[in-house]
Amino acid sequence: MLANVRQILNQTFIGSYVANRVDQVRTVNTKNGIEKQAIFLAISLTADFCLGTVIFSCVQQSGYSPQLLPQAIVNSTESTVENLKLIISWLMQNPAGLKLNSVLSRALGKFFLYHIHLWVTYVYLLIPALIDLLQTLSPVFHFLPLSLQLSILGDMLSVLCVHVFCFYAYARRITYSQINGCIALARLFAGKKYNPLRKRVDSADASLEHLFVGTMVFTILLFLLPTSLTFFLVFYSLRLSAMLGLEIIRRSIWLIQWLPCQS
Amino acid sequence: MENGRKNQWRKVLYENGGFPDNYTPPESFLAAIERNKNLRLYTKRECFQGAAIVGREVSLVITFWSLYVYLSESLINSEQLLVALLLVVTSGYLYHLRNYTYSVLLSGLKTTLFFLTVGFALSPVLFKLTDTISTDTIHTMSVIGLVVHTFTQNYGIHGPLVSKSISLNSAIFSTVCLASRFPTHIMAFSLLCLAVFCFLLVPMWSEVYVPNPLKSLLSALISVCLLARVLPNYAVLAAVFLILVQVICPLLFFHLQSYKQTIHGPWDEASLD
Repeated sequence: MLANVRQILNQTFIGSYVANRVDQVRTVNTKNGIEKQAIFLAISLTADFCLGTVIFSCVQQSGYSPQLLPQAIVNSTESTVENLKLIISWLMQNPAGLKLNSVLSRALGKFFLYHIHLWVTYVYLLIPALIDLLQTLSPVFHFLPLSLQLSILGDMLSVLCVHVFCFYAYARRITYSQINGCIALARLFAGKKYNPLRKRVDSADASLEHLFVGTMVFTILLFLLPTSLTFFLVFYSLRLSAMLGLEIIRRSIWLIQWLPCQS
Repeated sequence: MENGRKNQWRKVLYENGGFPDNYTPPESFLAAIERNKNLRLYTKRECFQGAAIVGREVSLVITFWSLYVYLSESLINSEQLLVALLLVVTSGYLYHLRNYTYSVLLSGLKTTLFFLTVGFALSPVLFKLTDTISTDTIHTMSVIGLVVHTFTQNYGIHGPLVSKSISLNSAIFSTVCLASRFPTHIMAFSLLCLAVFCFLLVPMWSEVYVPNPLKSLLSALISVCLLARVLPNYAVLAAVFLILVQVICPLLFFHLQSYKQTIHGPWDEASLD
């Protein structure tokens, strides 16, 4: 059960920070060279706290105070939503001269826009609670270690980007099922079918009805493939950039928490 | 050598005749040559009949394309086309009723109804499918599909290129490409019915009734006339091609048969015949 809890905690930044520190403290207690480990851990924790305070005061001096944080969250959410809506409406109208199927691109675009609308409603219900939490935390924020500050930042970013991952998942499912359907029906086109028992392609004795319906569905899927492929590629690149930002934060936290001779 | 007489070599391996095991007398190997063994000579009638099958298929494709052009230029109504197809199919079924049992015809009727239902259900999807793609690309793709259909069609001779599925599927593929050029979905449906008739029902008919050369020449003439109404240049090309396929090629084949020369002999691979 502890492994499950650990897995769940590792999904978030704050949870993984806490779990990592707990692990480090626990390893110190059970190892033989207790002095060296303890010294390294103490140095790491002290450096963490000092860096947190120093960098926070630098940031505060250049004008970003924690009271501005809730407003910053709301602004960034709104700008993300607006940009996503712009991208989707651009995809709905023949982007970059690509010949997308008009009916399907409009349908997919409307589906994604409605999803954004639902998500925005949900977030606007959640934001006041979040702002209250942050107001209570803001005096403490100054004295938190740097890795914990970065973890909080990373968690907020992943909450902002969750719908990008959702859209990528939808587009991926649609495109992959279309591609698989196309490949299977292309085999039917040539008069063959896949034999899962022997894991090879055999010749198929398909009746006339099978051939007719198979060819029509194959042509439909083939011509609708560029449209879903475009949506998939756009959301894949968005997801990549979001993952890049989150990965940078994750690596810097790992770097700060690194201990030499760690088992 | 024994008894002052040269031993005759006989093709008997269990007797030691004083010759080495791999000995063949020089005159017995090449003398066993046979020329033109199992030669099959085709009569003029057979040549023309074989060419008539190909000619009928090509004229069918030309008729299909010219009817598509008529539909897209509104020379005929989609309702007229549907009514005409219905009449032809009904008369064909009534004609077949004399020769065939009820159950065969009933299953054929069920298949046709199934195709019509599926086609009608899918035609609103089909006629918007390739809206944004340019007409030239669509025409090229459907022509390639029809050419592949002609190449892989079964003309009575087994070959590696013949495949019933590929021919039927590429014909349906070109129909679906062309169906998107129409403004309403009833026109797309009528083109689909025409394709079902041309590429599913007519081959079923032709399996039974082998064409004679005169009938296929008549169908070639009809298709060229249909094409000449809208695309006169291509009609000339089509006429030339059809005459080449149906008249000149069989005559050439028949004349060139006299040049056949094959050699068989003991050096051939053994076959279990």
